[in-house]
Amino acid sequence: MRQNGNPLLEVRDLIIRFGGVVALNEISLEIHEQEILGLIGPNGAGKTTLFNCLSRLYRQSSGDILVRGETITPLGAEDMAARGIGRTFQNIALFETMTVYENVLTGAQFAMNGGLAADIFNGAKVRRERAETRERIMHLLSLLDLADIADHTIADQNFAVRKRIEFARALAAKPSLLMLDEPAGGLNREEVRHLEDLIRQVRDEFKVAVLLVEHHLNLVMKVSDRVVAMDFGQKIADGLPHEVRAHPQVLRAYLGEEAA
Amino acid sequence: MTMESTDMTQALSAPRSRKVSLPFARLGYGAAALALLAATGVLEGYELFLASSILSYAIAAMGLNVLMGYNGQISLGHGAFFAIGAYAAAICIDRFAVPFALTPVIAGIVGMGAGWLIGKPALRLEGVYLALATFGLAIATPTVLRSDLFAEWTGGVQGLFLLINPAPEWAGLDLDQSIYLAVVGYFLLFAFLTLRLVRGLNGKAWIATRDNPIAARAMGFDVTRAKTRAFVFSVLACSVGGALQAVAVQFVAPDSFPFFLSISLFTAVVVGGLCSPLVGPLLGAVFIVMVPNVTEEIWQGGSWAVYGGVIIAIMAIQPRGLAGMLGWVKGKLTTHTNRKQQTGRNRPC
Repeated sequence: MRQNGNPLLEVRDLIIRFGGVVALNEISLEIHEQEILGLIGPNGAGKTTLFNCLSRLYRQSSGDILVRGETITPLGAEDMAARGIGRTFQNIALFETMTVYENVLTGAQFAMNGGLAADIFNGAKVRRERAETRERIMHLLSLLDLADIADHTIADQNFAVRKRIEFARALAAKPSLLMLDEPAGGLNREEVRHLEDLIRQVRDEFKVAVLLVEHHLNLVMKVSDRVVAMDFGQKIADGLPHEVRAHPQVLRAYLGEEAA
Repeated sequence: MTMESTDMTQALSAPRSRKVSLPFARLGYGAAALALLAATGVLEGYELFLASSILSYAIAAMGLNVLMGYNGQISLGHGAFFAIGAYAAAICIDRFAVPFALTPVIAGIVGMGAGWLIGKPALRLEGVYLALATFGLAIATPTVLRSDLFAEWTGGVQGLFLLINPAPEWAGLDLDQSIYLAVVGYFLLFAFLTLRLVRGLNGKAWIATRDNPIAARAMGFDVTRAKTRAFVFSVLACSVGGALQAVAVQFVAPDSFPFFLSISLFTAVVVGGLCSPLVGPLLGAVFIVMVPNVTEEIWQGGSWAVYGGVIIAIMAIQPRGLAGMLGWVKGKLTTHTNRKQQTGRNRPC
């Protein structure tokens, strides 16, 4: 799984403070190509903070984040798609007035010519690029079972479908790392099982690494190659799923003092 | 028929609508353009002036609709850019004897310069704050135009009368016809630009920024650039509209650009229908030019009460304005209502 020595994503001693509160305290972790890394921890452990820092919506107080050996610290959220980092949102952040197709298109647009002249003159090269993108997106939509509703608005879609649309939108950017923020939240048992298959299928077909931030421990333990556990802004365990599950500090964080 | 019932830039719209409806949409656009051109020979004198006036407001409203409808930024001050365009055209004609049909180009350049200067700081503001800041522009404009400081160029309180030459004799057009044709030409140009932009990736950037700025950034949209482009495009359209209005009236004066003009443009966009790229602004322009005259006839002295009442009624019946009503009627008349609702054609944008 390792390529040319550098991990796909490397987090080094990341510290984030909000005022006097230390939200992340010297977090370090690595994600390798095509690896599924589960990130667990109780509420307030700092998972979402780390996630938002990785997508450059938050800035760290100190520490560094490297993608394939290159720092992304100075970059903004709008540069992440081009660096191969895609994400979904915990509370779903689709563009409500666009159709399903258009939403997924927004995931692909960063690599397309979106200049004023491209839109106005709509020349042969631009048309070809847009037609190719359309084909790729339609393929993506059929893989995720969304092709039939390509033309529908988001407003008509239920929660589980919206999650799939966000998935498709993130994949349209051809990311090498897909970050999923609580993808199982709000899903019923059967939908969670589908999600499990979907995550593996996506990893295999699109050759992406996945960072899975999730409350649903069963899901994380089943799909992850490796699991990192956090509590109070600190990393408390990092290893294979069964190792982390049995780790005394993880048990304490989840079940309380006596369990350990 | 509604002109914007189908998408033009095929690849960016969902694929189904393309094959069936595109030729019809093209036909509709072509027929509408021809009708506007043919009106040159049908309308006369005052009618041509009214039509020119409506179309020049429609150009301004098209631009403002991109800013307010597609990009979701509220401006109550675009009358200022309308005034800048009008005065730029007037000075071009008065001082440099520029042919009137070229003045909107110069006015557009001047307007965009002003828009860029004002937009840079203004675009840090959002929502009601941007609305108030732009409203400040609208309030300041008449005073600046009246000021002695620029009176040598602007004509001060008196304003400028414009001597406009009709098209060359071989064209066989009188002055009203020449002006009207030029206005139609610019209207068609802006209709084309607006459609291409809102149907293209710029339109996606505008809508994404409006709907969810954080997700827009995460998708790689440059939110600041999207906002700036929408603002500059709206300013361009308003200054070109203003230039054409000055040409049609053949006169500019500070009192032609009170802050109420900005409110009128705002009204045209919202009453016409947000996010209806062509039909909305056109209907909105008809509304702000014609309805005050009609209400004056209904109740002399109380016409603004009637006008205000009509605006309230339209918003209560259909928040998506006149274009929304037209879409509703069209839906009733065709058998495809269900399918259209399903395919999301009735969505707000």
